[in-house]
Amino acid sequence: MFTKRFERRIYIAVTVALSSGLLGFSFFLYAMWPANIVTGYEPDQPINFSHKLHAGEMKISCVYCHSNVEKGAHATIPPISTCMNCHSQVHPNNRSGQPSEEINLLKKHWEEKTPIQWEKVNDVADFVYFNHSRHISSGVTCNECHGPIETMTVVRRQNSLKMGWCLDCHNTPKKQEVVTGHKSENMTSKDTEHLPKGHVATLPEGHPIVTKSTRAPINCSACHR
Amino acid sequence: MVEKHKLEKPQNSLPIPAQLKPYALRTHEEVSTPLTMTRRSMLKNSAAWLTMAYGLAACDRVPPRKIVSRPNLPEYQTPGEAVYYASTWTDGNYPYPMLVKTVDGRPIKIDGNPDVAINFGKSTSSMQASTLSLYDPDRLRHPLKDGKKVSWEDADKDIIGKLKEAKSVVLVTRSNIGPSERDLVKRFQDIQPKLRHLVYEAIHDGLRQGTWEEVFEQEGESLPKFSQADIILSLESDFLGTDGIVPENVREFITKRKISDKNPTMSRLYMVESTMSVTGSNADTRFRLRSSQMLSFTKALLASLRGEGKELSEYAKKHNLSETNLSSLVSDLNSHKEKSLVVAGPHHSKAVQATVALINQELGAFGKTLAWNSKPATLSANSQEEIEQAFSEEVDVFICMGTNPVYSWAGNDFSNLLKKAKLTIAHGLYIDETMSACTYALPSHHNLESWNDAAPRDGLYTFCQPTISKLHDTRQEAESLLVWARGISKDSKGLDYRSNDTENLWYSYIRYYANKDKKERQWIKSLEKGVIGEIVTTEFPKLNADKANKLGEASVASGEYELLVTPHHSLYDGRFANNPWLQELPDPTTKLVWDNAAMLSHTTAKKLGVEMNDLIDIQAGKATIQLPVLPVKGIADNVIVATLGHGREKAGTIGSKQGHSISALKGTPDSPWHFPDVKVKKNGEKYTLVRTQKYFSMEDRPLALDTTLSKFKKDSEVFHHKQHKPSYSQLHDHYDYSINATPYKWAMAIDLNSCIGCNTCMLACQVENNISFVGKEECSNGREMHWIRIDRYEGGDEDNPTIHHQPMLCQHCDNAPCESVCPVQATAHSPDGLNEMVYNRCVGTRYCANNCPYKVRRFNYYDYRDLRDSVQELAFNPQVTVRSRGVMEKCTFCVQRINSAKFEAKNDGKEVADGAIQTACQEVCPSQAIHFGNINDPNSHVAQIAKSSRAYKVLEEINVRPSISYLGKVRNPSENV
Repeated sequence: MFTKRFERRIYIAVTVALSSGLLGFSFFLYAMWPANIVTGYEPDQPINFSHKLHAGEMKISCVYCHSNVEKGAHATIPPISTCMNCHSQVHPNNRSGQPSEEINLLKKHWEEKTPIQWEKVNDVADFVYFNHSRHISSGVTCNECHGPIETMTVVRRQNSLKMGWCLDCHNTPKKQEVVTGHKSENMTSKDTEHLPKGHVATLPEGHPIVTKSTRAPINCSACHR
Repeated sequence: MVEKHKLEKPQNSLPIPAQLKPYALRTHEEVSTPLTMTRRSMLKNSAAWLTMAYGLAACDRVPPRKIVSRPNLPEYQTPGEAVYYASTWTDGNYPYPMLVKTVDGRPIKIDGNPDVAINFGKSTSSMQASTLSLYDPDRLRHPLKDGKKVSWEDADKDIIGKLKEAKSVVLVTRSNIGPSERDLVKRFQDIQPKLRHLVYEAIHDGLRQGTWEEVFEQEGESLPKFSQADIILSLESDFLGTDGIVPENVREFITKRKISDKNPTMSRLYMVESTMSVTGSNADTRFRLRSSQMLSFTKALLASLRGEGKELSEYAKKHNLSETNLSSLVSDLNSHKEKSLVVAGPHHSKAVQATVALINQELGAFGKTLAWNSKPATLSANSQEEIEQAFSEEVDVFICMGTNPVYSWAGNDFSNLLKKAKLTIAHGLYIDETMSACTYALPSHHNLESWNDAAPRDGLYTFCQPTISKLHDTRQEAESLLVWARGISKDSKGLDYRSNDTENLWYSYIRYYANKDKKERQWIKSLEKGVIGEIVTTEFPKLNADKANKLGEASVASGEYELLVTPHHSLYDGRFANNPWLQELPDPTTKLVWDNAAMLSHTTAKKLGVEMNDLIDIQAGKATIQLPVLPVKGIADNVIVATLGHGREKAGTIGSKQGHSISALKGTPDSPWHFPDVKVKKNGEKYTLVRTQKYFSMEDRPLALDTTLSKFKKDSEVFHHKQHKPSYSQLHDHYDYSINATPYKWAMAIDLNSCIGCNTCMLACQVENNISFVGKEECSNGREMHWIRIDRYEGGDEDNPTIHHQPMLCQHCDNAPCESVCPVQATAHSPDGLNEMVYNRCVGTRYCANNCPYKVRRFNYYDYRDLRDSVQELAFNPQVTVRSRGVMEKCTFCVQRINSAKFEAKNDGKEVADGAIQTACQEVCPSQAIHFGNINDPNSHVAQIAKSSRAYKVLEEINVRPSISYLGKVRNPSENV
C-alpha cells in the first residue's frame, strides 16, 4: 500500500512514539512513586531557621532544643522560651551587621506570646507509632533518619520514612554498626547469635547490650496499634 | 415475629442537623444513600474513576501538617506522655478518690487512686465514663436567662439584687458535696439568714441510715466488713451492684472468695430478693421472695435465731421457700456468731431496717463484721415531704444546684412547686428538665474542671483538682455561691479568706479551708497525693433495742402485684443518661441496652398473658406508667422490677426519650421505691427492647465451668473431666513459644470465682481503646463494638437459676483461625504471642470474624469517627488508632501499654518486670479477677495462676490454643443441701 520508504518512516515514527511514551511513563512513575514524592520535601517555614548555622557551625547539640528525644515518643519542637535562652542575650544583628528580620520575628512571637506554626517536614501517618527515645537509646543517630541535618539551611526530608525504608534497618541490625562505630566489650556470643554471620552488634559505650529482646522488632503491633 | 420498632428521633436540646449527628444516632434510612446509578452509567464512569484512583494512589504525600512551638512548655509535660493527677470523683453518690490520666493537657482516663484505702485504685463504670461527659457537646456553654444568652455579670447583678431583698431563699443541692462547700453554705446562711439548705436525691440512704441513727442514737453510718464475715445474708441489698460504696464492697467480699488449691475455704452468701441483682447472681444460695414479705421474713428469722418456736419452717412452707436451705441459713448464722453479717437494701422500710439491726445484734456483728463511720461522706437527703414543706410559704429565690428534681421527683409535679417561687435558678451541666424549667440556667464546671474537696471517711480528706481548664464559659456552683455571698454582704465578714484573687475565688476558699487545720505546709504534697489523714475507727455505738423493737412493729399490706424500683446499674438515677457509653453498657442481668423494662418472672408473664416487648400499664394510686415487658428468670412471682434513670425528656442528644420514665409514680415516705400494691394490665401495644445477649444456655458445653466447694475439696481435678484435649498436631509450623525462642509470651488468666459480672471492665476497655458506641438500632443488629463482654449463662432451676458470668475477649490463640483466612494479612501473629490487628491493612472482608469461634471480633459498619463537635476528639486516647469505616477491630491485650512498658524496660536495659503491664480491664477490675503477664517467666503471677488445678481453656477441643486461661468457679452452698 505504501512505499517501502514511507513504511520505514512509519516504523520509525511508531518506535519513537512508543519509546518516548515508555520513557515518559517511566519518568512519571518514578516521579510519582510514593517514596520519591515525599523525599526531598522542603517547604518554606514561617521563620527561616537554619539548622546549618545552629547545629552545623555553632555545634549546638540536637538535644538542647529537641529536649525530649531521649525521654519520649516525640522529639519535641522547642518552645520559644528555649530560643530566647540565647536570643535574649545575643546580638540581634545578622553577620553582615544588618538587623535580622528572622530574629525580630522570633522576638515578636515571644513578646506577643503567640505560637510559631512550623510546617511539618518529617511526618508519618497517624497509624504509625514511632518512638524517638527507643531509637536513640539503641544507638540510632539523628542523621540516620533525618539525613545531614546540620548542613541544611532549610530542612528537607531526606528519607521516605515509608515502611519498607524502616524495615531496611529493622531487618538488618548491621546498619547500627556502621554508624555508631563503638564496640561493646561485654557482648557474649549469646547476644550476637541472632545476627547474620560475621556481623558484630555494636552500640555506643555505656549503652545496654543488645539482647534478643532488644532486637529491632518487625512484627506489626510494634508500630501499628 | 416482633414488629420492628422505628426509633424515635431524639428531641435535641440543641438542634443538630441530621448530617452532623453521629452515626450511632441515625436510623438506617438516614444512613444509607439511595443508589441512583445504573449499570451503563457505572461502566461509563469507571474509566474516569480508574484514572483518578491511579493518580491519587501515586500522590500519597501526607497532607501538610503544622507543628507548633508554644511560647512556653507547660510544667511537667513531655509531649505525648501521660501525667497523672490525684483528684476526687464527685459526680456520683459517693466521693471516690481518683487518679486522672492526662496527655498533652487533656484528661483521657480515670481510675481510682491506689493510695486511698477505700477503693484501692478501683472505680465504677460511671466514673470510667466521666471523661466522655466532660467533652459532651450537649453541655451548656454559657449562662441563660429564660432561654436567652446572658453574661455572668448581668446574671450575678440580678441574682444578688433579688437575694438581698429576699425574705425566703431555698437552696437545694445534691448530697455529695464536700466539707468546704458545706462550710460555705453555712457562711452564706450567716449572711442571708433566710436561706434554707435542703438536700434532694432521687435515690438515697435515708431510710436505712436514718433508722440506724435512730436506734443507735448516734449520727453516722454502718459499714459492712464483708472480709470479716463467713456467712453473709443480703436482704435485697445489691452491694456488688448499686448499693453503697461498690468497689470497696466488692474488694471486701472477694477477699473471702479467693481460694487456693491447697486449702480451699470461702465465705457463703445467702441472698433473699424479689429481683435478680448482680449480688443475687453471685449468691451461693438464693431465695426468691416478694419485697413486701421482707419484713415478715426478717421477723421470722429473728425469732428463729432467738430460738423462739419453729416459725421458720412454717414460713418456708407458706412462701414456697426451700425449707432445708432456710434451716441451713439459720444454723449457719447461729454457728458463726461474730463472723456473720446481715445487710438490707436501702429501699426497705424502717421496720425492716430496725429488725435487721436486731438480728445483727443477735449475731454479734457490731464492731466485728460491721464498722461504724461517725462522719458519712455525703449529706443525708431530705425527704420529698420536707422539701414540699419549704414551699408551703412563698419562696422568693429558689436555687437548685447539681440535682434534677423536675425529672426524678416522685409524682412528677416538681414544676408546680417551682411556680411558687418568684425567681428560680438552676446550676448544672446540661439544659436538663430542671435547668429549662428555671429562669436562670447557669452552666457548671465538670468534675474534671473543678476545685473541690471531700471527706470520704472519718479522718480522710481528699482533694479534687482541675485537670483541664474550663472548656466553655462555665462556673463552678460553689464559686457562684461565693460571688453572690460577697455581693450581698456589706463587708466580707464571715468570708475572711485570702480573696485578693477575684479570678479564682473558690480556689482561694478551698485553700483557706484546707489551711484552717494547719494543713498549709502539706498543701502541695497533699494535692500531689490527693489525700491527707488516715481513717479513724469509731467504736460501734450501743443499740437501743427497745426503740428497734418498737420500730419493727409494723406490717405491710400487699396486693396481687407489686413494683420494685431500683437504681439503674450504670445510669444510676438518670444523671448519666446523656453518656452513650453508659447507655450502651449492657445491664449485667438482662443484657438490655439503651432501655429499661418491666422485668418479671416467666410465670407472671404467663399469668398476665404478655411476652417480651409487650407494653403494660402499671397503676399505683392514681398514676399510671407504661413499660415494656422483659421476662427474667429468677425474679419472684407477681413482682415487677423496673429501674430509674430512663425516659428523660431533656437529657441531651443521646439520653432524651430513651426508655421510659417511672417518676410519675409516688410511694409513701416509708417506702418510696417499693409499691406493694399495683394494678397491671396489658396495653396492647408493642415496643422493641434490644439486648446484646439473647440466649442464656450453655447447652451442656464446657464453657463457664463451676463446681461446689465440697466437690472441689474431694477432687481438685473436677474441672478437667469435661474437657476434651486434642492431640496437638500441626499442619504447618507456627511460632516457637518456648522460653529459648522468646523472652515474652503474653497471657491472661481470668478467675471466674472472682468475677462478679459487674461490666466495669467493658467500660474501661472502651475508654482506653477509643471504642465507639453504635446506638440502639445497630445493637439490635448485633453490631455493638465492645472488645470485652461478659457472657452470662443460666443453669440449674428454671425459676431460680444459678448464674455464670464469663468475661469473653480475644483469646489471642496460638493457632488463630482468624489469621489463616485473612486475604491481606491484616491480622498476624507477633513473636510474643499477640494476635495482632493491623487496621491500615484491613480491607473489611470480615472473614476473620466469621472464622472466630469466640465471636469477639467487631466490625466498623459505619464511620464512627464522624463526630458532632471537634471537642469530642479530645476524649480519644492518642496511643490508639481511631478506626475508620470498613475496618475490623478486637482486643489487643492493650498493646499500647505493652509497648510502652517494653520501651521503658529496653531503654533501661532491663527485662519487663512482672506487673509492669496492666491491661485496662485488669486495672479496673474491682474483684481482681483478671491477671496478665508473661507466661514464659515461670515466676510471674499469671504463670502461677495458670498452673492452678482450676485452670482450663475455653473451646480447648478445637485446638486453637488460646492464651487465656479461665479458673473455674467454686460455689459454696451449705453442705446439707
